[in-house]
Amino acid sequence: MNIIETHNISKVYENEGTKTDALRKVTLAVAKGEFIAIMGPSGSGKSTLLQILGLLDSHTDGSYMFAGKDISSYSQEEIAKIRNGKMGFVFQAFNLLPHATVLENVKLPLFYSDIPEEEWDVRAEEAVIDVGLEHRIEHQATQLSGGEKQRVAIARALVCDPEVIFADEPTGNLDSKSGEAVIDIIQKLNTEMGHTVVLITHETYTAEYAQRIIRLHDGEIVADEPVKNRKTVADAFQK
Amino acid sequence: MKLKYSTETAITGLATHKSRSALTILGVVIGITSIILVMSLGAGAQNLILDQVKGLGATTIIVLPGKISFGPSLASQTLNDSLKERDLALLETKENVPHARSVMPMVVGAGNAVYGDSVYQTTVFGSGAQVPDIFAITPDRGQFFTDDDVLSQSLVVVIGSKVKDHLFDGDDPIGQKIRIKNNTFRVIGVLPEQGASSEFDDSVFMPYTTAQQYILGTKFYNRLVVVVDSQDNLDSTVQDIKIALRNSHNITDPSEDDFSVTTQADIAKTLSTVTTALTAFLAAVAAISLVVGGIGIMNIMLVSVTERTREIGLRKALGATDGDILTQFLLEAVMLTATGGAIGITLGAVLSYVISIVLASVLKIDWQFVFPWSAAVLGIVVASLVGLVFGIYPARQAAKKSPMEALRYE
Repeated sequence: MNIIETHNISKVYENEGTKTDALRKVTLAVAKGEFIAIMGPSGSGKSTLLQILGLLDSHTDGSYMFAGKDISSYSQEEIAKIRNGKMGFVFQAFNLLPHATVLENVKLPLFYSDIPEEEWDVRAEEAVIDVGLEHRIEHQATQLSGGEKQRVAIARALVCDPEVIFADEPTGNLDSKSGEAVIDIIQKLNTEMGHTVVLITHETYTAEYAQRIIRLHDGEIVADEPVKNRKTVADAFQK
Repeated sequence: MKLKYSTETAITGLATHKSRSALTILGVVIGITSIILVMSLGAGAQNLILDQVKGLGATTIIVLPGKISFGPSLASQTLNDSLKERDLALLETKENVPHARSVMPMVVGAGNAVYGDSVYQTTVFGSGAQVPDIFAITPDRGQFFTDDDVLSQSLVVVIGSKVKDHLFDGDDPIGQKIRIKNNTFRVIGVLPEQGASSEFDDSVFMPYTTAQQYILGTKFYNRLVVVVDSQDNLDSTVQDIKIALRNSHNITDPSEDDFSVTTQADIAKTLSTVTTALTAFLAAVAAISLVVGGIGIMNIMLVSVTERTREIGLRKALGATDGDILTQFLLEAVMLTATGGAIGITLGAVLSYVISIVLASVLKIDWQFVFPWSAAVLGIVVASLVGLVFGIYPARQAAKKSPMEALRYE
């Protein structure tokens, strides 16, 4: 079953009369439990695509089915609910609340969810353990290293147990060692916990942790191929 | 989103910028403080007036000459000669005014009291011997004059406390002679200090007959004070007095009355209307600062919304609805102003308490501190409303932000 299915979706930005095509007739499908990477040079439309798939932005043409339902039939409130319960986001800039603790940051999506308050602490603690930051749980976000911040963001994306995790250049702001730790966790989310993952990156090295790579150029899909020698963290350590 | 969490988030948001939050609510604090202060002092003034009027007796009726119907001894009433000896006789007759317990004429003048080298300008009250009874003041030294003194136009005076202080400087005034308008009077009594709200401290009392003969040279009265036997008969006695005086003055149309009859209750009502109106006016002026404070809140909230664009975007990406964001920012504004309101109420009450103590001790008047509970409740409600009204625009700006715009914002 496909969790994500787009058919000919386009995105046109209008700025002072000039139209820019960010996406042109993109058709793609992501199966439940799949790990895909979207690659392309800057300006290729990969971020726009992620934003549309993550319901953070709207497309101008075409149709988008999420979990088998056309998203144009949803109200703003329902879309907020889907983002909250079925999607998890990891951004390049981490986007943590700087003055809140690790636990508070991870709990943030729960406040907007229907999950009963009694479960919040347990769920948040489990998510923090999943990313291996239990020793940092009461630290403020500002006291963490970049890699740790991104792991907090991953825990936050996990806490509502989403179907899909969208990661937008999650290693872009990290040194290679921290980046590897982060991509390791993201891969485990897919292989061990069964989450569907949509990863955006411009590094082939990072993209090869996925099962399939979709390449974008000028808003169009130019390639869609499975990864032949899929990387795992174990490989990285062997080097 | 749960309200409890919204509240916690709002508190965290405000606590992150403590000094900014404090400065922001200053306008609301000042506004609410002024309103509480004005209303508390207004209520205190009203109580003072009512107490004093009650002290004068709820059974007292005052007949004034001339048409003007309120306010004590205006110039036209002092000079109006419509109340004469025959009117006094008329009101003293049981058939005309059956419930009058006593009728006392009063005249008022001014004169310099002289003792040795000391001169003091005083108000001269000519009255009957009933003053201690009607005005509830008894001399603390010597005594008040008697009906016999009134009948015989005795040259005796009872002096107020300030007159005593200025003329006698510690000497015992009883039995001493003072001169007023070239006549010599013997001091037979000294009245206790009444405080700043009373004109009696600066006054001398003498029999009205004496005052008419030696000080004023007139035959009319400036007022007639009628004491009724019971409060129940107050209204009927007012009517009796009017009818008797109209008959005697040949007046058929009540609008042509050349006298006016007021009770202490009327005076109390007039004065309390005036203080209420004044209080409301001052409170309205103070309320303007609330509007200014509200605009300050709006301004800071807008800055805060812009500053926290990323946070708003993140919250939306994680599932916050427009309503959640709106609630969060609105709650921040309301909590700011409600806190300002609470501080303002406390500050206003403390200031008002201090002022009431100062007034009571410096002016020697019986000023009671009144905490205006209704104003306090109103203060909190108004302050919260200010937050709601001026917070709604910034909160909507926040809620309108698209998650992507907000996340992109640097």
